[in-house]
Amino acid sequence: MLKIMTIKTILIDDERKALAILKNKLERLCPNVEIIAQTQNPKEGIKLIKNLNPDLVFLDIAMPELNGFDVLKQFDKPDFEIIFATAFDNYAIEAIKHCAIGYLVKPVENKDLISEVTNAVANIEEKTALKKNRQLIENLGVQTFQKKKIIIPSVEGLEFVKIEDIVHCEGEAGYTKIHLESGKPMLSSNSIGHFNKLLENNEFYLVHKSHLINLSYIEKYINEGYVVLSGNKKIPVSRNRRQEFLELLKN
Amino acid sequence: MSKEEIIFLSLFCIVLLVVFSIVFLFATFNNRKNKLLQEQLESKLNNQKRQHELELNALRAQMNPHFVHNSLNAIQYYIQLNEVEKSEDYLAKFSKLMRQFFEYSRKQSISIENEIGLLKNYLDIEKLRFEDNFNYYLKIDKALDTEELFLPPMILQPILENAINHGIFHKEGQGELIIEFTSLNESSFKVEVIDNGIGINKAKAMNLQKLQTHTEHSSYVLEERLMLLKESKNWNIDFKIIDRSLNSNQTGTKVTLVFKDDLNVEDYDH
Repeated sequence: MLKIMTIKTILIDDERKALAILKNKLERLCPNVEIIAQTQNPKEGIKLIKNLNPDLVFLDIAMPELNGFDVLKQFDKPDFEIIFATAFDNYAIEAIKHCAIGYLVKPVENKDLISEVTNAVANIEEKTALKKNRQLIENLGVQTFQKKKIIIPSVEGLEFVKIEDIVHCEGEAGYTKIHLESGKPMLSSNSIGHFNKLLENNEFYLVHKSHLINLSYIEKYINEGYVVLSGNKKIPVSRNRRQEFLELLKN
Repeated sequence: MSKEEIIFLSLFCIVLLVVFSIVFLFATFNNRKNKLLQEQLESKLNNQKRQHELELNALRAQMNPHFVHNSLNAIQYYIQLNEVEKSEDYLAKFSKLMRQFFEYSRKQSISIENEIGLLKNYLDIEKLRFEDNFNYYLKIDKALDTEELFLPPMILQPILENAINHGIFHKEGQGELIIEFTSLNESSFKVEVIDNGIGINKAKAMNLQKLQTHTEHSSYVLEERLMLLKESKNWNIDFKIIDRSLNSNQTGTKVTLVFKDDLNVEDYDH
């Protein structure tokens, strides 16, 4: 018999209309989501979460007084799954993506909502929320990009990797091999494009469609179109990317 | 004057002359150097300025008010019909396209793959507007490496928009748009945009009657951008536009863009 899990859910968004839209969509598109409470006030939201112990929280990021991240920081043991919602905030999205936490951009696309909720259900069964939320809180307190950690889901579970330990990522038929400063390379089922977006920053560069490198490991550039990384690794630089890459190095 | 005094005096004069010439040469040299530096700085600043202009032009060419309002109008249409899912879908696609516009217009170049993603999104929105009366076909040469070849962002979208709004819009019956990417060699490619609309000659005539300047404006922006891109020495793009009725008995307009890469030849792989 198919067991349909009911997901106890709380919605927090300072905009009344945003709450109404989300509620309407969830009722239409995600029948296993049960909305047990909703609020426009983040402080009340904290109380609701503490009292009602939800499985899932939809949390708006840009709110006056307490933003979504501040709400999360109020918990010693944030073991609830979160799907963040934001209209436009690259910094916040980057931080969320680093920890493999769900998010939606407003206006919400129906298929994105369905896929995020499906993901959340799987995560609730695997009970990964606490670790990811704690990592997000930790990262928010770290100023240097390279000192932050990213979470990479793998077959065995979640891997926590410090960005500065990543030497280079190599795309291979839809998968990505992550070469670390020490130890065995890791394999992720995400594409290199995913990691390019995840590490989009002045400190990483996609020198080739299947090679994303950490610029701090560059030892030298060879004019024929190669870059040598520490450990004597020779990585090809695509012809059409050379000019931009060299300009980046000069700066 | 004694002999010694004459020798001394002439020596003194020679030394003086040498010192003067050194000072003079140094001053001229310094002057030239400063002038050269100044010129370099100026041309660098000019290039930067030009780049900013390009970005602005790109944005202007993109956020075409006609497109924005036509899209919002179509959303209103679906809301009135009470087609909730369709309205939502349309709105979300529109919002995604705006995000892409903002993101890409800040970049100097984007891969063909990303450009195709944006065009698909744009064309899907236009399809919602025209309902069953519009279809598009994207033909991509298998030999084309869409991840390793780049083009300036926002070059193709205004061309498609022109084809739809001034070619296909005025046509009765099924409108069709073909966008074809062809590989020319390892680093050059051709893009053709072919519509079966009324053709550029008729469209121009109609616009003259209506005293409408929009087409002229957007094609002016496009030409201006292509010229600036050529001047920037980073791109070499050939642009050609013909009315299909001139060479065949079909109607419509064909725009051909050839992206040539003869700029990085000196660092060609050995």
